[in-house]
Amino acid sequence: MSWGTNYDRQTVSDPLLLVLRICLLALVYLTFFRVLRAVWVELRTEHRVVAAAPIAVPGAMPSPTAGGSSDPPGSDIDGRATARIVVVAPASSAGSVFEIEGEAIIGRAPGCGVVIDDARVSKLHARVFHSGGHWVVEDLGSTNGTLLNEHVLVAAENVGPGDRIQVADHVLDLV
Amino acid sequence: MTVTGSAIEGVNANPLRDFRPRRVEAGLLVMVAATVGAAYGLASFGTSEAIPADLGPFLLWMFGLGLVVHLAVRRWASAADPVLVPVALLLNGLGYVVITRLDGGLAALQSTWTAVGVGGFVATLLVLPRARILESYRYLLGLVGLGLLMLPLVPGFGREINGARIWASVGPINFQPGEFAKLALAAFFAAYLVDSRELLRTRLELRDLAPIGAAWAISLGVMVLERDLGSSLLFFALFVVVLWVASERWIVLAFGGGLFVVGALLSWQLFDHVQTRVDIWLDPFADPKGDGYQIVEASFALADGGLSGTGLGHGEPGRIPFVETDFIFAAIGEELGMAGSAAVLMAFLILVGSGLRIALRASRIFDKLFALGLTTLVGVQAFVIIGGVLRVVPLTGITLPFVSYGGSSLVANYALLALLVRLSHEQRTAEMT
Repeated sequence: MSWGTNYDRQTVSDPLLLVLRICLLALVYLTFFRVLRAVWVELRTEHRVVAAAPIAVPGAMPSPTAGGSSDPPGSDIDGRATARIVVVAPASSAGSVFEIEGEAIIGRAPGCGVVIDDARVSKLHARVFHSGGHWVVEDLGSTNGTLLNEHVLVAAENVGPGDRIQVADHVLDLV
Repeated sequence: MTVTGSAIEGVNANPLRDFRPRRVEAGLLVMVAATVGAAYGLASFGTSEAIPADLGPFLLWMFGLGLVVHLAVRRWASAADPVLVPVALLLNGLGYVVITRLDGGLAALQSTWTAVGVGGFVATLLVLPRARILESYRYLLGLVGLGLLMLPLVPGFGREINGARIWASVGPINFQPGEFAKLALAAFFAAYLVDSRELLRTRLELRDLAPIGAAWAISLGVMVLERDLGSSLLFFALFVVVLWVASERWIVLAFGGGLFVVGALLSWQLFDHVQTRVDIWLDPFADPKGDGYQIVEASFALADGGLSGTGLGHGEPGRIPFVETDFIFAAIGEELGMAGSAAVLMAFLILVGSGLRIALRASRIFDKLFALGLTTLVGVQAFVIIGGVLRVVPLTGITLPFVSYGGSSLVANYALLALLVRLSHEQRTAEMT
């Protein structure tokens, strides 16, 4: 055996033991292979679930893509009000614009009208909706709460231009 | 609203009814039991040239332990990560085989400790339906942690064994309270930082850090009095890492690193035993029959092992002092070779990876910081002792989690595993609903 430096070992001359030894190591690594495969399969399914979620939505859903949308802001479609929610902080996602129509959920879930990918934001964190000529924001029992103009939102409250909605670090402006 | 509702239903499979992770886990556990059984048979074949008479009972024992753990997880944490438990059992099993091969008497005790550890695992899952329960007992946990740390210093309770005063005896039972203190302090750090995190992110002031700083200073001071270097390093790393993540400021890491250097230099100046350790690390061959003996023998053992090892039962790891506890990695390196010891490293890597994944994805800050703290404990502890054996860092005596012989260590690590499983279950449940 090339890598052994010991000459007084029966193992070296005993091919059966050598085979068994290699088998044991192979078994150990096979176990690890199974473990890693389990991790891999799981990561892939999670990814698929997330990717599949928006497809599961039948019909129209306000597109959460940032930037220009087909509808001009302020226009009414089927008598429903539209508005834009602009992310002003943090710097990393500032400038993202979400078009909302009638109502939108702010949250981490991929199906939300305003998707904020932050662990401190609940899946369904807060709701912004149009009612009686006003836009109203309410917290949906989120873990970390919603702030409106730096006070904690307890009940639903009216929002207008210039008001600041904050979920976790993200400050949102309604325009 | 209805549209949004259906969007969420697409993601929502009831996590409490979804046993897919548990099926994966059961498969892995069978695999692990078979691997450890094969290692056990081979080790006995190597030492006595005979298939052991108790191979059947041993396999039953392994499958039994796996079954108990599996059923407990299935019952109380059904959505948890499927790889945590099998990897820990693999480490425990391989460690047990090596201990059996080294010292039959210790192995019998270790099997008792394993049973107690599994009992502790089940009990932890049972009494903690939610990890956040710990959050409300933060100061109690901090006090308990410090109390446990100081227990060995109390006359009447404390005992000094092998130069370190880290043992306590209550009645007939000797144990290392420090092993349990680390769990309590990890929970305390996490819970405390949940509140002060917001403050810390905008300003770093000493008085916001007072309670946690006091806990840290006391634990370090106690460790120094008990001459337990490995644990001081462990607590220091836990403190810096959790604080760094909670404050989201790199300056904490830089400051922690600076403090570490200062502390290391100071203790090197002040303590003889630290100087000896560093001298041995730099040149173990200066005194190969005296101070350097342990490291020198470990280096020879690792060199003997080569790529695939001498085979279980064919090496001479018994020459290394404390090979069953601190130096078990050298025994694995000798008899299973680089391939076997790399497998042990990989197992720790998987444990740490799974732990960090829980921390990354947890939605509650306490869960995040607690998972991070627990993972840091396992990872740093494994690094400190493996690095010590391999002469990457100066040696500080500490057990290799799950692998080394030691009742307190094994039971505490099983409790730690149960906490990670609990956190993983909560994170996945929250994600799916």
